[in-house]
Amino acid sequence: MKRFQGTNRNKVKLKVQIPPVRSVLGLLTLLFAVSWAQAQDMDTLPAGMTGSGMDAVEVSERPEVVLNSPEITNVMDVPSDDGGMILINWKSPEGDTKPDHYILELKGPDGLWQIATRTVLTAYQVTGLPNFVPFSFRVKAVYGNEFTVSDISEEVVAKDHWVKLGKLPVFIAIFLFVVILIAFLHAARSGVDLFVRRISGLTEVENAIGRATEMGKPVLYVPGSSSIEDVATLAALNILGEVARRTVHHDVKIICPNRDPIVYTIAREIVKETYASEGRPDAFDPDSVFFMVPDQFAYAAGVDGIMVREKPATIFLMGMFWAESLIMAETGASTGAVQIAGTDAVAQLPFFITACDYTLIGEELYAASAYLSREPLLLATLKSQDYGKLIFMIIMAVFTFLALLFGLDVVSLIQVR
Amino acid sequence: MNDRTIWEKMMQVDRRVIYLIVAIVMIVPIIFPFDLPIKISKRTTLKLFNAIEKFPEQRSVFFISADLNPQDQPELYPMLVSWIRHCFHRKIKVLVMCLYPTSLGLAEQALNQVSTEFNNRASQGIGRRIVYGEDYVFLGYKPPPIVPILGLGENIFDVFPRDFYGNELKDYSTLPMMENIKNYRDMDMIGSIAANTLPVTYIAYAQARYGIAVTGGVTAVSVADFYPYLDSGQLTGMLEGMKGAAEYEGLIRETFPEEDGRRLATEGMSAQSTTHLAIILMVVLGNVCFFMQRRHESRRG
Amino acid sequence: MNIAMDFWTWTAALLTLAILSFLWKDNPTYRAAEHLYIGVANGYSVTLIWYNVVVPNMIDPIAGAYRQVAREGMNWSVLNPFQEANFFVIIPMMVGALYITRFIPKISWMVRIPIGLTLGYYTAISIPASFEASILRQLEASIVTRAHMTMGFRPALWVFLVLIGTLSTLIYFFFSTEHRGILKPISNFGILVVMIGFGASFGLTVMARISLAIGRFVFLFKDWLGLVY
Repeated sequence: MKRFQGTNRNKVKLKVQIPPVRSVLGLLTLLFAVSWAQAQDMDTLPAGMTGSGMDAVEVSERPEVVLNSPEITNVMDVPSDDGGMILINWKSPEGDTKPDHYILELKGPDGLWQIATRTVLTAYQVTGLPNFVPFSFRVKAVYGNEFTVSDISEEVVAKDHWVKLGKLPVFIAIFLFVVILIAFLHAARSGVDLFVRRISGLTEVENAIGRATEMGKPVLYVPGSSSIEDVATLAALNILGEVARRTVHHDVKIICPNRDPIVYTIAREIVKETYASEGRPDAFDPDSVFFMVPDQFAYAAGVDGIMVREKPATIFLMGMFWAESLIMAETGASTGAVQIAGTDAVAQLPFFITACDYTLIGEELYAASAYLSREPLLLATLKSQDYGKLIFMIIMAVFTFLALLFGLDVVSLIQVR
Repeated sequence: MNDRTIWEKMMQVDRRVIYLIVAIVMIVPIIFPFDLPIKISKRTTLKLFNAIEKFPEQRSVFFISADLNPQDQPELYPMLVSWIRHCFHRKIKVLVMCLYPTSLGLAEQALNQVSTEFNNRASQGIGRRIVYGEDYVFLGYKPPPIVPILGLGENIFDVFPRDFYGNELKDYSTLPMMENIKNYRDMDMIGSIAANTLPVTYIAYAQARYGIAVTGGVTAVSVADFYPYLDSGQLTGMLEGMKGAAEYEGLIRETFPEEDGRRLATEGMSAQSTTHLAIILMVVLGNVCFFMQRRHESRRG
Repeated sequence: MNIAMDFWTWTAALLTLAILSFLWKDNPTYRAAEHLYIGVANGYSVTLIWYNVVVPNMIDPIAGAYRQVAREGMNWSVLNPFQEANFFVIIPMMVGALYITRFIPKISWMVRIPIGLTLGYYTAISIPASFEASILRQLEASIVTRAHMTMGFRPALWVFLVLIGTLSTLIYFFFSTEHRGILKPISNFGILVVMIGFGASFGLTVMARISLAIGRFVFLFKDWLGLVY
C-alpha cells in the first residue's frame, strides 16, 4: 500500500507550455537588456538618484582665495503642513573655497537676529515658528574664523493647512477600493454570479473523504486554535460545513475537537444542520463535535491522542494555529493520514507545507471559504481584493514599462509625501 | 512488521535523541568557545551603524521603543545594550519607552548596566560620566501601543507627564535634555526593539505621519517580514536576531576601543554556528532517509 | 567553577531547568514553573496598569477636579476635557465600563457600544496608515526605473527579479480567473517564489529558536554554574 506522507504533493509542477513562456521570458529579457543598455549610455544620473538634492560640503584649505557669499534661492512656507514650518534653500558660494559650515539666522517682528541652526547642508526646515508672523532669513558661510553673509531674504509667514495634498494617492486608493467593495457587495447581494476559481487543495477534499470511506476510518477536522474573532476561524467553519456534507454523502464519521467554547457551539450547529439538511438527522452523532480543553498545548496533546488512537484516514487542519501546528501536523503525518491544512499564519505555513499533503496558503483559505459558502460578504471582499490586486499589478507593470522605455517619472504620480 | 529498514528506523528516531544532540553541540562551544569571524551584513547592520555614526553629537536624539520580553531576551537584549552603548559613546541622547509592561524591567536593567559601565570607566579616567536626565531619560510604559506612538508625534508631555521615576518631564533642572524634545521632529531616529511587527507599526503611524526615520531590532523569526520595508527605504537598516546583535557588538568594539562591556550576543555565536551545522546535517540526513525509504518501498511495490 | 551565590540567579536557573524538563515529558515541575510565569506576568501587568493607566488617566483627574470644586466651588472649568483635572473623563470611563455588561445577560448587548467605538477608531486610524506604508510605498518601491539600471548589473537584476516575483505571486493569489494558458506557468513561478520565501522564513525560525536556547544555556553555564569566564 502506498503511504501518503510528506511533501510529495506540494511539489510545484512546472508544466511547461513552451510558446507563451518563451515569449514572456523573451519580452522580459529584452526589456531588461534594452533598459540596461540605455542606462549605460546616460551621462548623468537621472532624477531620483541624487538623494535628497542637498549637497554636503567638503572642507578645503586654500586661504588666499576671495570668499564669496552664499545665496538664498528659496524661502517658502512648508506646504500642506500643520503650521510653524518654513523651508529655506540656499546655494553654496561660488569659487573653489568651500565653507566649513553655514549658520542660518532668522529675524522676527522683534527685529533681532537669532541663530536657527548650524549645518553643512544647503537646506533647512525651521520648525516651531508662530503661524502668520513674518520672518526673514540670512545665511552665513563660515570659513575658519571668517564668514560671509547672504542677502536678507524676503519675509515669509508660516501657515497651517487643512489638507495634506501629499497624501492624495492614499485617499484615491482607499476611495477606489471602497467603491469596488460596495459595487461587489451590491452585486453579490442582488444575486449576480461572482466567479471564484476552484482552489486546487479543495479538489482533493472529495478524494480524501472518498479514501476515508474505502478504509472505513473517520475524518478528523481541527478548526484551528483561535477564537471566533479570527477570520481564519470563520473560514475554517465555512469549510467545515462543506466537509461535513461530504461525510454525510459518503457515510463517514467526522470528529471535530474544539479549543474555544464559542467556536465549539457554532461548529456543532453547523455539523448538526448539515446532517439535517442532507436528510440524515439521525446519523448525527452528538459526541462527534466536542469541546476539548482551552489550554494550547493540552489541546494539541488531545488532538494528537485522537490521531494516534482513532487513526483517521483524512485530517483537516484549518484556521489559525500557533506553535502547536507542527506538533499536530507531525503526529498526523506519522499516522499515514492524508492531511489537508489551511492557515493564514505565515510563521506556521512552512510547517504545514512540509508535513501535510495539501496546504491552503493564506488568502487561499479565505477564497476556499468564499468559494464553498457563497456568502455575499465574503465573496465581495474576496472579489474586491482581487481587483485591488489587479489594479496594482497593472500599475506596477505599466509604470515599469513607461519608466524604462521612455524614462518618464511616473513614480511621482503615486508617491506619498 | 519487524522488517523495518534502517531508513525507516532513522526517520522514526525518538525526538529526545535529537534534543540531546542539539544540546551537546550547543553546550560544548559555550564552555569552550572558539573565535569565528563574523561577517557584517551591509544592508542591515552596517547601514544602521553608519546612520547613527552620522548623527551630530550632543544634540541628536535616538528614541528607543524597547518592547522586548523575557522570552526573547537572548536575541533582543544585546541589541538594546549595544544601541545604548553606541549612543553614549557618540554623545547622542537616548530616550527609552516601553509599550508592554513586561519590557520595563529589562529596559531599566539595560540602561542601568550601560550607565554603570560608563561611570566605572570614567572613575578610572577613561571616557565620560553618564548622567540621568542629561544623557538619557526613561519614560516608562504607556498602553495601548497606538496611543503613545501617535501621541509622541504631537506632544511628548501630554503622553508622559512624568518619567518612569516620577520626575516631572517639564522639570528641566532634573531632566535638562527634555528642554529640546517636544515630539518626533526633535528626534533623529526611532529604534523599535520588538519580537512582533511593531517596527511596521512605527513605519505606518510615526513615519508616514511625521516623517521620522525608523529602524528595527527584531527576532530572527520575524526578519523576513521586514525585508520589503528595508528595500523600500522605510527602515534605515535593522538588526536581525542574535547574529545582528553580535555584528553590532563587533562594530562598536572596533570603533570605540575603550568599550569593554560584556558582549552577550557574541558569546553565543560559536554555539549558534555549530548548532546550525548540526541541524543542516540532520535535515540532509532526514531527506536522504525519506527518499531512500521511498525508493525501497517502490521497489518492494 | 564559580557557582553563583545570588538567590535570584538560583531561582532563575531552577525555573529554567523546570521548563526545560518538558523536553523529556510533561511533568509537575514544568507545570508549576509555567503557572508561576503566567501568574507573575499577570500580577505584574495588573499593578503596572493600575499605576500607569488607571491612576494618572482616571483617578488623578477626577480627584483633582473634586479638590478644585471643594476649594473654589463649582465652575465650568472642571468639565473642560483639555484641563488636566476634570470630571469629563467620567464619560469615557462609563463607556469603558460597559464592557462589564457582558456578564449580565439582559443588557449584554451594551458591550457592543465600547467595542464599536474601539473598532471604529482603530479601523479609521489603521486603514490610511496601512495603505500608505504597506501598499503604496511598497508599490512605489517595486516599480523599476532607469535609476535602478544605473546602480550596477547585480542590483538592477535583483530589482527586476523582485518585480517579477511580486507580479507572479499576485497572479497566483488572483482568484477571479482560472489559471489557464500563460497564467499557469506564471502562477507556478509565483508559488515557487512563495515556497522560497517560506524556506527562508523556516531557516530564520530555526535560527531564532537556537538563539533563545543559547541564551538560556549561556545563563546556566556562565552566570549560574560559572563554568566559563
